[in-house]
Amino acid sequence: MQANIPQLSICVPSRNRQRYFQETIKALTASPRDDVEFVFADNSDDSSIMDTFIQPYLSDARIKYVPSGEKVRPMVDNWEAAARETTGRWITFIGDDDYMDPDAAGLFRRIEAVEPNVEAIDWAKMTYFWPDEHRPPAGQAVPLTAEIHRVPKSLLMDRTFKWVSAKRVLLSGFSIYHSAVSRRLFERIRRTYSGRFFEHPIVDYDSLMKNVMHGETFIHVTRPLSVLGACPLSSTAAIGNRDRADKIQKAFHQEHSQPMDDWPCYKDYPFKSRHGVTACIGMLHHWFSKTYGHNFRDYEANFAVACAVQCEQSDNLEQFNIYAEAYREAFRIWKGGKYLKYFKPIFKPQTSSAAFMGFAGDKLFVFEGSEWTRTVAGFYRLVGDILVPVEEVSLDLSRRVVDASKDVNLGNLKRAGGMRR
Amino acid sequence: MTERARLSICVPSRNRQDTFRQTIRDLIANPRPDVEFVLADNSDDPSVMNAFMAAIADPRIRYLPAPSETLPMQDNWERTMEATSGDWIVFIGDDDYVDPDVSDVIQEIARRQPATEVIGWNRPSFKWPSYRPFSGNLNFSLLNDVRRVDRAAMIQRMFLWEGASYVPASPFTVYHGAVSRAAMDNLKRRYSGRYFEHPTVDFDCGGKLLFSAMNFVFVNRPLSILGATEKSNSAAVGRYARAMEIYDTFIREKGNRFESGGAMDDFPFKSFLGVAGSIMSAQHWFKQRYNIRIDGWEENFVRAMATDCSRAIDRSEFELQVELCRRAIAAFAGGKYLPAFAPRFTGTHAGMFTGLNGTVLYVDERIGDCQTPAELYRILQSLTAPVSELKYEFGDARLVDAA
Repeated sequence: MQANIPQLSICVPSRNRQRYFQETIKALTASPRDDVEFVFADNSDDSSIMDTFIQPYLSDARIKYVPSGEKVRPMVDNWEAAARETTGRWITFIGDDDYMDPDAAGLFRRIEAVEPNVEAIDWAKMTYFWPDEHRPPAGQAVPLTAEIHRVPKSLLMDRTFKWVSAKRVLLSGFSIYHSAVSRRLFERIRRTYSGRFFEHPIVDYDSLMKNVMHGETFIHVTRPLSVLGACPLSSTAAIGNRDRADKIQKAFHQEHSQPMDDWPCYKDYPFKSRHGVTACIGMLHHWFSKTYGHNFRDYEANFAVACAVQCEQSDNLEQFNIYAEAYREAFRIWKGGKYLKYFKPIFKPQTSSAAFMGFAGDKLFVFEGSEWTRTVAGFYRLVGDILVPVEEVSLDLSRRVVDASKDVNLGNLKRAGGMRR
Repeated sequence: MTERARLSICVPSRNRQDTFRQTIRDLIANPRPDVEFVLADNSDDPSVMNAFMAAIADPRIRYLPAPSETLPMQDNWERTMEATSGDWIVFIGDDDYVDPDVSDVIQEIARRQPATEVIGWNRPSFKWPSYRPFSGNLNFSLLNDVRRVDRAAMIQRMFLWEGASYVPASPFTVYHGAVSRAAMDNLKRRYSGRYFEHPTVDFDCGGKLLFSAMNFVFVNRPLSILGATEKSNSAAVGRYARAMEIYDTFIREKGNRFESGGAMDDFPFKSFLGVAGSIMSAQHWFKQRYNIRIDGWEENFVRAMATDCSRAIDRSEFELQVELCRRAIAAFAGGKYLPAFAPRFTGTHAGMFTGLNGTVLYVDERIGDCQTPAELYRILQSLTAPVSELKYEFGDARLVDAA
């Protein structure tokens, strides 16, 4: 371990996606920074692959490796195991097919200098699809601004617990997944929840709800610092495809001694994991309110709208009908059918068109299928030559407070860049 | 030829065989049969390119080996042009790149707007890895549209230096632009029976086209890359001593007939003053030779000279260039434009801008660790809409100002 406390712990939990996990480890450890810590937590059926791969890396003092156990850990326990290993001032999690810029550590230090009370930092994310023979590469949106803003807790409370402005998922930001939590907030949450940070199987939103409930000062960075990768094996790649989503879900349930759907708190709750991602977050919301005695109000109609959005992202009409009917059935039962009227999905055929690149609306779309973007880190590197360098992100907090989860309107923007030395 | 050439891509070269060979490899990598490549060597040692070309069997190539005696640049360009057979002509340097698929864009413009004679586009710059004395950015428009351009505005930009940086802001020339054969032939008929007269070939052609052609179209998207190596003229930007070397070689090889004699003798703005001076000298020669009177360029030009000086990467070179420019300005019109000359030394450590400015994107020129102009072009392809998605805005009767 380094002599000093690391500024940032980047945790990467993984299960059975060794090929991508290995790429992520290579990319992260290529950073020369000595103020970061990497926690790699494997949870694969065959432990030997990563155990062998990691050997030459173990001499790197920044690395902590959690090997797969005798028995597969439920995802929530694997995340908790990774979290326990962290010692950094800031903690973040990414998936094993994602990328996070270790230089964020320097930015967090600068942010702390201008806002010592900051407890959670969120940033613009990009998406990247790993090469997949079943999916043609596309242009991915790249936000071009590089500023920081305070985000009021009241706004985050509304977005998280009232589902305000939710799409298919909550749009609050400030989970621990592709966002960072200060050690102070992290420990406060652990103390509050019986010594654990992660409890619910929907780990990312579990942390979101706790961060928003217990955090005080939130800062959003408009410059992207990480990329959400989607490999052919990931759940992101299964969006809209019920068969793939079902397979992933089945495997997920098998990790747990008791599938989430069978938990006592969901006995009379009609939304189940088979409904899809929006229902899963609804289940978490329900669990959180029941377990910790929060009486959330005025969220139901927004939740129904979000469920409709999920249905609308179905690959085809048949899948749309299956999802829509399942939700409709649940809304008929839930709370006396009062919110069924808000659930009005409309099938929108998914048009497949050529990959779009260039400037559209307010974002630059960068092609993910070029020879420079064969990995998620390669994509980030290429984009990094366009963006303002991380060390040049403007720290002017006197700007108006913005709604972090809404994209900054680049349509009106005249200049969104900065100096590089 | 396997098919009639719709487009002739011309690459004249002199003593830069390394980049010339790379440029040829990159161009012919595109298999489309409707382009021809006219490659004209003018090197001191003809054997290097002769050996290289002997190993290439591509029916699209017309190769002109180096003659026994070095040709002045305008003569090498002239014989290149004479060897073309395409309906449209594009010239690039031997360390540059143009996408042969520009032919599709040209055909589409000609189909939609048959009167088009000259086409310009964005051409980001690229310093080869062996020549990166300082880091830099490059920029290009994200608008991705195609529009007719107001010729009068372009004449003002070219000859009145309106909105000029250190060069006039008019993108219409056969160098990194496309000109129809008819427009090139018209230019030749009109001006002394030659395509190229003055050694500042790009601005010689660009200036004449603004008078001899009527219909200009601008593509707001990068379609070619301007390369720079240690041996390039463009590498002299910011390096006055290098500019002087190029000037001395030029005078030694070709004499000074374009800058002396008659009205040229009394004109103090000459090519040794830098890039702006060099273009002004060519413009003055053109105006004198063809009795064209254009007033009102002076103040804008003096500002462009100041901008040229400000690009110096070394303070002593900056001071030398400033002093020579100041002397020339003082010797012109009683020194009345001296107040407009206010160069500032910024050096190369001020940093560079990356990101979006308006609709123009600035990126680090080392993006993707690119090694050649063609590689840079491929990277830019992943940031810009494909040429098949260009928006042809010809329905709009309004003529735009391309710059």
